Amino acid sequence: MMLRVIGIRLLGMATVLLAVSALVFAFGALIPGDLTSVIVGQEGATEEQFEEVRRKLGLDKPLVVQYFFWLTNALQGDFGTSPITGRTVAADLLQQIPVSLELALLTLLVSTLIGLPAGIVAAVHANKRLDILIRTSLLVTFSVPIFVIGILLLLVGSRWAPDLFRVSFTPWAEDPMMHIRSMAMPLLTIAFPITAMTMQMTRGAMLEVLHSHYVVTARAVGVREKRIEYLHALRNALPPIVTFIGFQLGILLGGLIVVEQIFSLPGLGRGMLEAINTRDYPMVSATTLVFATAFVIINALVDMLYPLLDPRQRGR
Amino acid sequence: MPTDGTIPLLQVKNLKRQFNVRQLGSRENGVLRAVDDVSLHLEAGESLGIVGESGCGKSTLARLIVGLLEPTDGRILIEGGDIWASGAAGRERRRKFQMVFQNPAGSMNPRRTVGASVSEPLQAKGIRKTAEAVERMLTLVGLDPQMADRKPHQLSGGQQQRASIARALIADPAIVVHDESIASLDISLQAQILNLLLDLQKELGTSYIFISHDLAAVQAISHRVIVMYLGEVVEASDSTVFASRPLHPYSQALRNATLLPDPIHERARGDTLLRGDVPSPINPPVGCRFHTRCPLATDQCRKQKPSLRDTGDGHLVACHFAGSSSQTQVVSEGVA
Amino acid sequence: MTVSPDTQMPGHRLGRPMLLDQLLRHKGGAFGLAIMLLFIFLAAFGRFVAPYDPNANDYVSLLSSPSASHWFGTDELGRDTLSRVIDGSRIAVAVAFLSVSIAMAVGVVIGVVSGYFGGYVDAVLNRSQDVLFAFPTLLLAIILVAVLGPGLFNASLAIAIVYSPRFARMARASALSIKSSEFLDAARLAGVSTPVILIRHILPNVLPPVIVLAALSMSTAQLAYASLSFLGLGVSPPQADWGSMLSKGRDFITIAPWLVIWPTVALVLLMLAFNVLGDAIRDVLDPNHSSIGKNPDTLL
Repeated sequence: MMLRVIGIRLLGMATVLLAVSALVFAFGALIPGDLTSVIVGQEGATEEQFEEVRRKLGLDKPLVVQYFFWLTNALQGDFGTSPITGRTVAADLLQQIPVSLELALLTLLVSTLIGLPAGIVAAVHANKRLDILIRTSLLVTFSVPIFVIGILLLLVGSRWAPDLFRVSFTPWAEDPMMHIRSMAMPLLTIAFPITAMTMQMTRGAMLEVLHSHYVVTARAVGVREKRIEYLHALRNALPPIVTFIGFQLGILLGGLIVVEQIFSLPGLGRGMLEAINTRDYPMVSATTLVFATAFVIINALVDMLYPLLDPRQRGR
Repeated sequence: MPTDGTIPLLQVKNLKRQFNVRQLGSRENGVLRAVDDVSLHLEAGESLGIVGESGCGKSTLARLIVGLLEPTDGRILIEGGDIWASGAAGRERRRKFQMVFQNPAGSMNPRRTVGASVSEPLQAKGIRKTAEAVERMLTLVGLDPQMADRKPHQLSGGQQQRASIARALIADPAIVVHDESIASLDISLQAQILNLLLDLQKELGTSYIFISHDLAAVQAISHRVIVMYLGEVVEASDSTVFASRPLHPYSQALRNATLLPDPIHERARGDTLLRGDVPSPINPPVGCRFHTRCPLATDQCRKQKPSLRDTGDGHLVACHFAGSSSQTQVVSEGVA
Repeated sequence: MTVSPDTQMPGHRLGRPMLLDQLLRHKGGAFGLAIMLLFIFLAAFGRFVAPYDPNANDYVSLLSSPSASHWFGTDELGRDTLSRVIDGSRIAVAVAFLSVSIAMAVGVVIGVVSGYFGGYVDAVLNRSQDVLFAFPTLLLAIILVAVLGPGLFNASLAIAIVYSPRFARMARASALSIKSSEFLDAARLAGVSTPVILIRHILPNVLPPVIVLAALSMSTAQLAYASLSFLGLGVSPPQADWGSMLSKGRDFITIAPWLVIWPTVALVLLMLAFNVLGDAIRDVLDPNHSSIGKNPDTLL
């Protein structure tokens, strides 16, 4: 039953992926001045040479066939060559993906390490001053878009800690210290709202469990309060929280694009934006596809993780 | 069935309606026979009562008769013409029905005025000037014509029901079906509305079908009564005959359930009261569908399905024993 | 928030003057309405109010700090920040209304059709909307702009597409509940045709919750557009809007902070106005907050 539901969802997602890729491909293909002119155009090529290159690239075939070739190549990691940069798209992706991945995983780590305990504390002290304080401050971060947070941090930071901010991206291999410094601000920016969400969610899940019957029973039986709060309740609040953290990873993808743009990080998001603005279609198709695929895979993983965490779901 | 050769106003012939239902926990789709091979007829100016517990298919039957639902099988003829005939003919025939619903508050669009709702059947016929007709109709059902400008929620339950009746009657329908139309009103209002309906019937000559779980109310206002159980007709009779001598054990149980408490009767009543719940209509009992709850059930009932037979004077009953002298004896002893 | 007792009548009194009246009496409603009107005024007549041409370069005063002649300072091309912020409000307000209106129109049509007719139409529409709904707002919007190409209208359209499923869901749910109501049966029995039923009976009953949702969505739609514009996917230069101003201003953040401060202030102010107004409209139209909650994920 469970598997069927997941299967249907995956199928739907895969359909979306196909649709997105087809759309992206179609728009790329319909743009006048295809790859051929970039490759041969400059040297004043003859008509025959032109046709020759077109044939080699498969551009004389019907669009559907082209799409099929493009997709099979893409699935093997070959997204073609960018007419703008002249580099292969795959090479660029290989440079960009690790940057984005690092930022995403760090964000998840930081937000969970801070958000989870903070949420538990807020739930245990629900509606007391501390809880209200935390929640109001989080509400503010919630309602402001992430680029505003980034700009504000930049504004404040450039005044008070200019060293930290005037760092352009440095790979770890080059200078680990500089690398950490260059990632600090982007991480701070995106971790802000994500942590807020984790906390909010944890608080909600904990509160629900804390008010449930078996906790009330545990209290009545005389189990120590602290034990109830931190062990009994947390274990049962965990499935929704973990699901939510997975869900956040999906949300994060959108945030990544913004943060990479603000702090000029050479990640996938920035690569995508650049490609959109320069109409670098092979690159646009590739990056969109990577983002969409990442999202679908994350969702599938979360779906499969949930039954493992929730014993009630296991039997199905 | 009349024998003088004229066609009855409404004929329902072997009507069936099935619903496919997905049963919880199983992949197989069940088939719910909400209405299973029902036939009936209705004369002009006559009232027919259809009685049964909730879930017996009477509401489905109502919706089938007025054409809100399409039957799986069987025919509905008005003045001899099929209401599901294709094209304008069928559409025209379906317009001869109107319905008054159970919940007066829900039967009018909350965002439109009462007048707009009441005039809707006329407007749908393409009649532009409806104000006068609405006024006349509202007066006829005992409402202040000024109520036309109100919104439904500004009316009381009884007023809403009167307005619903006005809407049902305004386009001069041949048949009005009342689906538990008075069940939600309090007793004194019920009496008022029933009297109003009877007066209107005298005045307009409309035929009524009353659908209800309340045997007493239906008996009082109908010329004939039909009792339904699990989608089937188990008894059909003239209402005065029925009132004095219901034949089917189910009808008797229904009637006994409505009798006033009386210690002398009470003792004897025990075994004719209904036991248990209505069985699932998805897997109805084999043989006589009533055998699981019937005090008279024998092996024959569990195996063989009784057909609807005439016990004389058009009094129809679907029971192996009802009407036969020995069995009537047993039953009447039980009741007495 | 408290609502005066006579507003508790569930959604029946929908006369426009009544709505306005109740909004003005609502605690936050009047405030939100005032700021909204200010922005709408700026959007409509900004050209006449603004002290300078928003796109006129002035090479004498490049990056000059706020002064009597330039209240909000100037940018790297000497353009007056105040005038550009005012000009940006035109786009912010227009995009919010445009994208939400398109989303609402598309969503209501899809929702009503799939809710009322059900069957395969419903299944297909529902499934595709579900998948669309699963994507994070901003990511989906960016992907759509990638497909459509950047620009003011395409960005609005992308936001509209991203937002339409929530309208469709709400409209579908309402249509579904009204579909089996007795007054619809009565209308059908009266012989009212299906198109008339949809317009006369379904639509008026579907709209109130949808309008509330639209009001609540204005704020996030505006922010989503600002995000897209910040990423360079919105208006093209020299046209100014708040997102692109912030994007440009970021390069001069240490020497000319006013370039990012004022657009941010404007952005947050409009967001607050939309939020407060949306909440007020919800309080008035849907006192029990039965149908609509806020989505925490709308900004990312």
